[in-house]
Amino acid sequence: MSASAGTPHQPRAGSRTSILGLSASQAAVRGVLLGASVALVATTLVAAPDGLLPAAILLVALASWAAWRPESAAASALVAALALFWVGTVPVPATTQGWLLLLVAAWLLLLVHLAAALAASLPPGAPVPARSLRRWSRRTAVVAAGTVPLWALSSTAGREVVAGQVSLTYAAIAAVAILALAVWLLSRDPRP
Amino acid sequence: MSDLRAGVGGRVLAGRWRATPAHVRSLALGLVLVAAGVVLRRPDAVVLGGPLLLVALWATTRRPTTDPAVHARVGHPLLREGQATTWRATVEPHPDVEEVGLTLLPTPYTAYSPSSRSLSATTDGTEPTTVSLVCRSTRWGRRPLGPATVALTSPLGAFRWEPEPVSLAPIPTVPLPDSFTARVAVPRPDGLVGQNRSHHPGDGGELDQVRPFRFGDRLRRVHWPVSVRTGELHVTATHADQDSEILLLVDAMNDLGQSEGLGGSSSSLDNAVRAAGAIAEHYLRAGDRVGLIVLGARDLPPVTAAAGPHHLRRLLDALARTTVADGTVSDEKRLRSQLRHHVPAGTLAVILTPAVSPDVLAHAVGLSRRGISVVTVDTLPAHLATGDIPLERLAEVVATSADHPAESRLAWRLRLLERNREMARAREAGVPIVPWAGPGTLDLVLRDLGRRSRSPRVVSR
Repeated sequence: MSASAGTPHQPRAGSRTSILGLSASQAAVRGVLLGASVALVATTLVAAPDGLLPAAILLVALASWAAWRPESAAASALVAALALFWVGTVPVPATTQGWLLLLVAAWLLLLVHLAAALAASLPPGAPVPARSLRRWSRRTAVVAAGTVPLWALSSTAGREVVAGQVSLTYAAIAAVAILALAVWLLSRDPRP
Repeated sequence: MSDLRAGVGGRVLAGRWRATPAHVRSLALGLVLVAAGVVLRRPDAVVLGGPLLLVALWATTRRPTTDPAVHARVGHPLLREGQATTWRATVEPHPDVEEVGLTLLPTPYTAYSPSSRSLSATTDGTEPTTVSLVCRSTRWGRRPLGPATVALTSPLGAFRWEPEPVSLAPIPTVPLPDSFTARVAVPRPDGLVGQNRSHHPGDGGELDQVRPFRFGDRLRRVHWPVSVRTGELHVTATHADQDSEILLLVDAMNDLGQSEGLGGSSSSLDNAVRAAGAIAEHYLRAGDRVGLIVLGARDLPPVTAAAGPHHLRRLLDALARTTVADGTVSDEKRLRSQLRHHVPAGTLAVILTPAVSPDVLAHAVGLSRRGISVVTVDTLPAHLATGDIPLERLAEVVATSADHPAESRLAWRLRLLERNREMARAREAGVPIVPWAGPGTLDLVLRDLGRRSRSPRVVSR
């Protein structure tokens, strides 16, 4: 990528950009963001007994805006709204199909978040390096795979009727996790 | 270290790592969803928030703790019109840097490649990473490239290192001189050595006459065929070869017309600057001395007449720093003081002007009356030298054309009438005015001036 430092030269032809000023790979990443959002909305509508169609339309509009401006607060609002849409309209799964839909929804939410993060990391007009795409895809797959045990645990816990206060157990687990995180953050070396 | 690494005219960039909205989103939303799922007995919320929390934790473990070393520089310190250079940002190896982005803001008369003015690169943190954007300057002048935005991101886009927008020193773009040649010698060469035929006899290369031998003639000048035929020694007499002084006066009081850079339409100042470069290049190659005064330009002292190829570089550099006057009272004062400059006898003054400033034409007449050979080159673009210019072109000469098109057209017609009258007066006073036409532009008028210089006349000193 570096240019020689010799005599000034004539530039080569520029790379392709779309009419919106986006490189093809940036457009693809934003397309993934939009597609995953629409798919998540559709999944929610399928899983919900009473789907809120107006909310779904609003979410698709928000997803379009977030795909256009992934570096803005719209992307965060989109991820939060998608999660809220699921939690607010879909009851706790009771069937295997419901749990499978939940896993798909979790993966799609992860995809929306990471696509927005990648699109916001690089200039819109610059092509996303293939190595970056491979690296981000690999990490997405790792996190998606890490979601499966959590999903399986939640599925099992959701189906089993356990004696005692389950919420207190969850709260204790969450408190321990948050405490561990806080301890780890505090124990880090101070920044120079 | 850094100044050396940055190179000449480069800069070491300073910034700090900040968490991105994506990281805040994954951390906050992940925690909220998991916590809400636990408290409200909603395992689906835990499953939805779990991956986000995983991403946040992963990114937090790779949080950058040291600043990267980034330096920016432009590839070349000087360009000619149409030439390109690179705007480069180099990132030294850093374990927590994964993506590098570079974007330059658009600047006038600069073409970028890629045209999006944006580049990105990925790094594995083991080797320096350079992103370089090709910038092509399409017009003479001092060309600022950017400002540029450089951004580095950590794994998963969680932290971003972004300095303030980077503005490097403007790159001087010297004009690409038009092609110009003159077959006619300058009227009154008066220097010591050169290639112009003098009116005086001397030791030169051009034949004057074959005449009888006189005491002091060199023997190698004896013309043996004539001497044998006539029985008397004859010698070959030549004209002396002398150099001359050319003074270029570029009128920068006005810039009329639209400049689209190299290959596009030219403004009057474009024509003047490129023509001055061409004339300077021609006469400097012929061994003459060339000086330059840019009339109305701020912070641009006159360039004293000198000879040699290095002087051409000096002249082109001065032309590249030419800026049009903004029409204030101080500009008028500066013009008047510049017009009081000393012009030695024997100088050929070439005035490049759109001839809309009466002061400059009056100065040309004054120089001519003092016995200085003066040639005025009209640099007004041909399509503007008519009163019937289209409305869209009218904005190039009258600023208020959009609001008052009829009045603006009338005003421009009146100005052209005045211009024609002043040019006619100048011609009557002996100042030839020629439009710039590249090679041979000055031939006809130089021939006339040469003839006129050999005839006696009255001058005012």
